[in-house]
Amino acid sequence: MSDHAGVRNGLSELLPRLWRFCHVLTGDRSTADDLAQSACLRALERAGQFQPGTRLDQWVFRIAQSVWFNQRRAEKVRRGFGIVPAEEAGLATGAADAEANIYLAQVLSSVMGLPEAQRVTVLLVYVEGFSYQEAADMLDIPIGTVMSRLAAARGRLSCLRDGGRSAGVAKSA
Amino acid sequence: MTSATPITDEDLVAYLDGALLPARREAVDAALAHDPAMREQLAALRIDVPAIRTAFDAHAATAPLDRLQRVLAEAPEPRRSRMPGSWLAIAASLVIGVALGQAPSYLFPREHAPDWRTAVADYQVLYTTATLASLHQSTAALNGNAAEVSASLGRPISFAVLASGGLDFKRAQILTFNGQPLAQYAYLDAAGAPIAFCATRTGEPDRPVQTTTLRGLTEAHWSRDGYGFMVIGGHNPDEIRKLADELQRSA
Repeated sequence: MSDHAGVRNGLSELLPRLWRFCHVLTGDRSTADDLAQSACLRALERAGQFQPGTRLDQWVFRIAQSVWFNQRRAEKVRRGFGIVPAEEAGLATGAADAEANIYLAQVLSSVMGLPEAQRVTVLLVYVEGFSYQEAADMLDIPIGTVMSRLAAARGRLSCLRDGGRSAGVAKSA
Repeated sequence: MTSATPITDEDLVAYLDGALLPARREAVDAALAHDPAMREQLAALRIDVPAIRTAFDAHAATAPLDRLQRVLAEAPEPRRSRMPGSWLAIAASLVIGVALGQAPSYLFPREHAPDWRTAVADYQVLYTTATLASLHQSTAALNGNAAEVSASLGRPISFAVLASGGLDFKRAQILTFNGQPLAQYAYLDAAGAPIAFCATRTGEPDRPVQTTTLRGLTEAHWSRDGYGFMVIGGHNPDEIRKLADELQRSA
């Protein structure tokens, strides 16, 4: 199998996670659609540079990040800090466990409401399960910065304190 | 020594995440056992991490998969294989060709686009008027933007030159191809068609402007001082050629 076909197949499986990463990076759904698309094309163009045996997800996330930074630097556009409405997240749509869905929508909105650097770090470490060191490598930052971003994010996510769940949901429901 | 180092929020986060080294972990345990303020500090950092994971897993399921799968399926194969075997084959036939006193035809390609131009063309076909129409940078901002990009490229291309082609110069940005900076200067023509002027270091000998078609777009390219240049897009081949000629004289 050629490099190109291998990367294409791997990308196909990664799409939901790649798009999610793009959404967390950009803070905006339609910008994320475009960024995920550009990152796919860029990854395919560079398929020959991918080292088989290394992790495709880390490689592709880095490409998405570099496309985004270049684009934003050039356009001088400051996006993000946006809150994702619960209905847009597709979580609060009258499922059986409506209360749990309201809570999860609140979780999503809270994390998306963090500053970009913090929410990306939260995604990589707490959702994607990368180690501090792996996240530091992917974001090109020292490991201490990963930890301080996580500390700042945890400090801001007061609605997600242990025990906050019942209180928050009781108010919303 | 560890006991002398103050315990920070970062330590407590790593403690919660199970990422502390054993010695440091013991120090945190000891502090928590004796210091109520430390316990409050820890409580203020506790969050519902499993809920974040669940919420974002559900969110990933809302990705526009149809659209992205289509992008993957329709993306073109690279024109030139990067498999080492092909290079060996080319090298071998070159040796044979030279030995037989023949000039191999692929040394004088009719129109073989180097990869960077194909990559630019693949990118350019995705541009539409709306991609650029909403960009309204001041002349000063564009000037600074172009200067930054030229600096990254390592070849000064002045704003005056970029803005002189009679087109609406919208944006300069630095991309990368095979590890080399690739400058992209984006324009809209009078009819609103997107046009890009791109440059990257190729190390190729000087070549005059040649016009061709890439990915269905009119394209003109030339080389000078080890840099490759191209202009691509629009609806009017004459316009592309004219712009390329002008840029070739001054850029």
